[in-house]
Amino acid sequence: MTGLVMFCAALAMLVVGYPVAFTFGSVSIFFGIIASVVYLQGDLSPALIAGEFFQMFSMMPFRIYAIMKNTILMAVPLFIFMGILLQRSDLAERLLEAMGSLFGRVRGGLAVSTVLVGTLLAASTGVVGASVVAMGVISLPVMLKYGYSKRLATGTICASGTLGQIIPPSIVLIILGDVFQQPVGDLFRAAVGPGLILVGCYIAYILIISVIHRRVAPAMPIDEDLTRRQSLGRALFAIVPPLTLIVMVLGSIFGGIATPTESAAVGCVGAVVLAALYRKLSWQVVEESALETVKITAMVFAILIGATAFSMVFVYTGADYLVEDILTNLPGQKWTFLILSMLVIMALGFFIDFIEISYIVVPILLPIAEIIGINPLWFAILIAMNLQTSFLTPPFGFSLFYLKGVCPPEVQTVDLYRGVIPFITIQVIVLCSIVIFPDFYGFH
Amino acid sequence: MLVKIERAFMRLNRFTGKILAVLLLLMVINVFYDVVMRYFLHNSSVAMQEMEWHLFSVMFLFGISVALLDEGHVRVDFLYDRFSIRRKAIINIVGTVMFLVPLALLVLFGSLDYVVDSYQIQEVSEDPGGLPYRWLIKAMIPLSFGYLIFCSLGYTIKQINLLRNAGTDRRVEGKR
Repeated sequence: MTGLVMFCAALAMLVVGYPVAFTFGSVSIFFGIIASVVYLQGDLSPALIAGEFFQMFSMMPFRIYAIMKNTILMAVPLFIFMGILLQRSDLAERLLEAMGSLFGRVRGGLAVSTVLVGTLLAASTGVVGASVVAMGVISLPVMLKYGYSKRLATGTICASGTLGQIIPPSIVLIILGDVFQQPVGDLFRAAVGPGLILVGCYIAYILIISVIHRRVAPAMPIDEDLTRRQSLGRALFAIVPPLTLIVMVLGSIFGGIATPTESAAVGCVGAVVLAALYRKLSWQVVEESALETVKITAMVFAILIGATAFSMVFVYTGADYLVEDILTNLPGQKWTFLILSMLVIMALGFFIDFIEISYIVVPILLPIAEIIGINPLWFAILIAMNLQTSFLTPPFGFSLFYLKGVCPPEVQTVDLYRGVIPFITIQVIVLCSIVIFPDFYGFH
Repeated sequence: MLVKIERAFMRLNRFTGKILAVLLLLMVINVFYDVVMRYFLHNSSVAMQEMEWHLFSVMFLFGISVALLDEGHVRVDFLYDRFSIRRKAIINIVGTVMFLVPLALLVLFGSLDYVVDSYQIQEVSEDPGGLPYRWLIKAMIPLSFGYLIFCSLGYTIKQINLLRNAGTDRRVEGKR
C-alpha cells in the first residue's frame, strides 16, 4: 500500500516543477523511511529503522554500476550526438528547400514535403524539438505566404516533427528496449511499419483535405528563376547524403551486421563527414554539440537513477504484487489490460515526459503483460506510438510549445490546438489498428 | 561575494563541461575504432571495448552536475513556467535541500563500501585482456555524487542571487 501512495505522491510532487530525476529519487527516500517504520510495526528505535532503510537501498551501487556497464544504453548519447551534429549542419533547412521546390507546385505539396522532410529528419536526427523548430522557422512562413490555412500548416509541422519518436533510430525505442530487455534492433525493425503507415496516413489526409477544401492548401506559383534541372540538382545534393547515412546506419542494424551502438558511432562519424560536405564543420560546432549531448544524456540517466531508487521502494513494499493482483483479475484480462494501460499512459503523457513514463510506469506494467502473455515487441511499439501522441496533445504537448515559440504573431495558440486535432485522430486510428490487426504489422 | 562565488561555480562548470565533451568525443572515436578493428581487421581488444563504457559512465555521471548548473534537467513545467522568478528560486532552493541532497547523500554513502570491497580484493575485469583497477571506475559513483553535492551548493547560491535580484527589481519598480 505504501508503494501505491508513494506513486501518487511522486506524481503530485512533480507538479511543483523541481527536476524530475531528483524528485523521484527523494520521494522514494522519504517513503523508504516510512516503509521501514511500517515494516517494523511500531518499534521505533532509530537504529532498527536505519538498518531496514539501508537494507532496502543496499543494491543501489550495483544497479548504478549495471547502468554504467550497459553498452546498449551507450547508443543514447551516440544517436543524440549524431542528431545534434546534423541539426547544426542545417540539414533540415536544406531538405525543406529542396522538397519544397520539388513538390510545391502540387496542391497541398508544401505540406506533403514537410511530412517527407519530417520523416527524413526522424530517421536521421530524431530530435523532436529541433525538427519542429526548424520546420516552424522555414516552412511555416512559406506555407502561410502561399495561402495555406494556419491550422493545416501548424498541424502538419507538429505532427511531422514528432515522427522522430517512432521512426528508428529513436531514443524512446532504445530506452524501451532496455526496460523490456528486448534487442533494440528488433524494436527498430518492428517500428518501421507502423511509422511508415503513419506517414502515409498523414500524406493521404493532406492530399484529401486539399482537394475537398480548395482554399486550405493552394498550389505554389511556378518559380521562374530556377529551371527544373537546377532545382532537381539542388534537391539531390540536399537529399542524397543524409539518405545515404540513414540507409547505412539503419541498414547495418537491420542487416544484423552491427549493434545499434556500433551503428550509432559510425553514424556520428558520418554526420561529421556530412557537416564537412555542407561546409559547416568547425571545432566550435563539434564541441558545442558534444556539450549539448552530455547534458541531455546526463538528464536521461539521472532520471534512470532516480527511477531505480523508486523501483526499489516500490518492490520492497510489495506494491508490484498489489498492482499485479488488481490488473490480472480484471474481467476480459488481455483486452481490458491493454486498453487500461494505453489510457493510463496517454493520460500521464499529457503531463509528464516519455522518459519518466518509460522508467517508472512501464516497469510496473511489464510483468503483468508477461503473465497475460502479450507479445513484448507489440506492447513496446504500442507504448512508443502512444508516447508519440503525447507530444501532440494540448495543452502540454512538447511539439506545440516548440512551434509556438517560433510562430509569427498572427498564428494563435488556438490555431495550433485545432490544427493538431486531425493528426491526433490519425495517430489514434493507427494505434488502434495496431491493437486490432497485429498480424498486418508483423506481430504474432 | 555571493555573486563572485556563483561566477566561480559557473566557470568550474564550463571547465567540467569541456572535459566531458572531450570524453564524449573520445568515446565516439573509441567505439568507431572498435567497429573498424572488428569488422575490417577482425581484431578486437577487450580492453578497448571496456574503455568505451568507462568513458561513457564518467561522462554521464559527472554530466548530472553540469546539467544541474546549466538547467539541463527536465521539469514538469506547466505550472513552473508561470511562476515568478522569486517563486522559482524558492522552489529550487527547497528542492535542492529536500530532494537533491538526500538522494546524492544516499548514493554517495551507499556506494562507499562497494568501492572499498572492490579495492580490497583488487578486483579486475572478469574477461581476459580486460582493464585492471575496477575500484577506480566504481569510485566514480561516490565521487560524482560528491561532486553533485558540491555543485548543488553553487546552484543554491545561484538561486539565492536570483532571489535577491528579484527583490531589488521590485523595489526599483516601486520607486517609479
